[in-house]
Amino acid sequence: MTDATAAAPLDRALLRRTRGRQNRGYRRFLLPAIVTIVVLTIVPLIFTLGLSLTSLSYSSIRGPRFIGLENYADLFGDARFIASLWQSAVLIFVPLIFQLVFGFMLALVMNERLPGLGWLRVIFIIPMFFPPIVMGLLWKVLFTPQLGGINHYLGLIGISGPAWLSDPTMALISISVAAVWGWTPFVTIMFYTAMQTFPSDLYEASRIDGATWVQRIRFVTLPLLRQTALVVIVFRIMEGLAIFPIIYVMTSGGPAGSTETTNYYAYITGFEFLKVGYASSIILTFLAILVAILAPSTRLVLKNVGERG
Amino acid sequence: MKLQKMLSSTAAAALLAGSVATATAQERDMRQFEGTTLDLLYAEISFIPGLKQLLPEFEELTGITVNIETQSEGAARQKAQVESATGSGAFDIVGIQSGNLPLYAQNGWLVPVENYFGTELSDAKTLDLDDFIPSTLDSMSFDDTQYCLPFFAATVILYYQIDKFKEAGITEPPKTFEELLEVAAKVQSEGTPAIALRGSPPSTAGNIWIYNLFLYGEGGKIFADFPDDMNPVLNSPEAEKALETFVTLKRDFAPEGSVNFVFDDVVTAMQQGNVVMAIEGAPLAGRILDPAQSKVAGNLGFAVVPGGPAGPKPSFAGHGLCIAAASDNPEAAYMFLEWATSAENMVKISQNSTYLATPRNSVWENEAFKDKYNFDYGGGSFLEAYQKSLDAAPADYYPPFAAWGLVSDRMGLAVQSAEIGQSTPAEALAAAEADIKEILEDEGYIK
Repeated sequence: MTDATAAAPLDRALLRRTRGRQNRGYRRFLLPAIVTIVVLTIVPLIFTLGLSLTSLSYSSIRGPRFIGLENYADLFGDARFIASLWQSAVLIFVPLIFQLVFGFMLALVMNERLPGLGWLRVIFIIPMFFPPIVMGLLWKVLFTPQLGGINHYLGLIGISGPAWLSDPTMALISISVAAVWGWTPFVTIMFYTAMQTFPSDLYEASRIDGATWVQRIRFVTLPLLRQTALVVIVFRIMEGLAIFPIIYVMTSGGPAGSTETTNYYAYITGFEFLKVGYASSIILTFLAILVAILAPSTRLVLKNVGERG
Repeated sequence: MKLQKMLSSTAAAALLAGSVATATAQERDMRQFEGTTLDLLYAEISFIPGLKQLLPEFEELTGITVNIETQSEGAARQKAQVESATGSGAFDIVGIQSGNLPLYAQNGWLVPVENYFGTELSDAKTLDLDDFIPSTLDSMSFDDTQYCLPFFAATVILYYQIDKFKEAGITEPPKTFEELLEVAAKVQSEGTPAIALRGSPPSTAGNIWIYNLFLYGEGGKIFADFPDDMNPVLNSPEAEKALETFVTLKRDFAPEGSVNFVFDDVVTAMQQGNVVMAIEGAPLAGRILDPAQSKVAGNLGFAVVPGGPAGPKPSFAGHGLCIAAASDNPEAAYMFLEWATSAENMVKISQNSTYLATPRNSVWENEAFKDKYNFDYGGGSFLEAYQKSLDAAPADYYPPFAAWGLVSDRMGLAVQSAEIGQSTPAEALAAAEADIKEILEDEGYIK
């Protein structure tokens, strides 16, 4: 402890002296990354922002005009947009909860290294190999009554299966099921690899103190996993939009728009209806909401990583 | 208004045909674009697969290479629209459904094919404008300009299983919506729902393709007076009655989950005999009766769809091939279009694939064509039902204006919402009318 405090001022002095030279050196190497970010992210973003302030729509008989914030004002009165926000929240957070629970449970099983069950680890991560579009197709087949999927087997045991994809609530559940199936392996792997790094002496100490298996999970594993869980949650929210192909294939946002997420609505508005200005305002608003949710947690994650390093 | 427009375009076609005859006295140089490559984009609808098989012939004739890219109906439309809007020049030839033509015409995304009529690139005998069914040619024109050449005349008919009708004691196909409901109740049995209908709303090929025939049949309208008064009038007793019939059919007599049905699902249901009836595209008969897959071949009857007080109003759309404004080779593209839509090729394609939706009268008269497609198993002749439906179909089934996609999508959502019981037909239509009014105000169609 005393060593560390003594070393700190010395390091800082050294840093100050070498900073000038270092700056010139490493900045050059940052250039490709900066150019890439500007060209691929900043420029399109500014362009989209510009579009969102116009009335550009190819099916309009009036030419495009600059309309200021009118598109954004319209969003608040657009019931379809408001509904899409709610549906996005459902389709991001409901699967996330189950992914965390199942991911944790599967990671625990993998971590136990039960003899003869090594193949289970392979089975658990199989869904990761499926591209989302294939995932969507697979579940669509399973949920479609005419294709003899889940309802056929439910029927064999005397249960009349629900209308999976043709009832608004069931359609949301069906897509959530597909998302849980598809992305739980990611959570499992994150948790499992984190568990590999946990110091075994903590477990030994708790065992000597008489902690049961459940207590060890509750008081050792879970607190140690908190950091990883935070990273997983941030990643999964960011990636929550990756559910798009599944919606596209399974329900196309239906029935009656009940599974339409905000990015799906923006896509339809932009590419199907060609209301480019309005679509830009939809997606930018959605982006702003996501950033507002994610920025604090991302900062927390980065801060913790910085402290560790 | 409509009549006037049709007369004027027919007159224009006649005039053009006259001028063409004189202009092509000299021989065309078929190989003037040798070495050119043309890209074509469209949905995988019948005609396109057959056309692909004939490409080597065109290549041999002209030295022009043609690449055909096909995608699903919605994906192809979206890609074509986006590429056109950005002027990317990704394709030279694009397939368009008549409901979409106004959007393309209004934005200047096409080179009108009529620019080449009567030029040295054109051959009057191959083009043979008079041979096209007038409504199909008209469906591919906008503002009295012929933009594209039609290759596909789409309408719907009623398909039914003859033996199931007999078992239920039904002697002839239903002619009115009331009769349709009665027949549905009689023919439905455990495990075999009475009827399959499309249910999925997105795009112009969704549930509105079917719902409108109930709407128009009841005497209902979408707009107060298209195109002069574009105020939507969907909140009408006629529209409500039409939606009630549609919803009853879908909820009580259709397969489970049919709210998500696209045309493929309806075709499969009918083809596999999983339903007793279907109202679906006549051009799909080839697939429904495909001997390799069909369980109903030899047992299918065909009839004009039932109607209401306004009579039967079968769906109608034309599909055509058009030249993209961003094409580097519009002239070579025109030569391909004229060749592809010639009567000779249509006959060939009708023989090498299940293509039968020809817009050319001479193909309808062709013996080989009639031999192959004159299905008649004792429940009415297919070709007759098809032709009668084309005659009865309103030419502006999809009102020709650029924002139709927006309007039809909103209507489709309303129909679906009533179908799943989220709202009553009256509520769904009132909400749709209010939204459509707003859409049309935004897009400048109503003040």
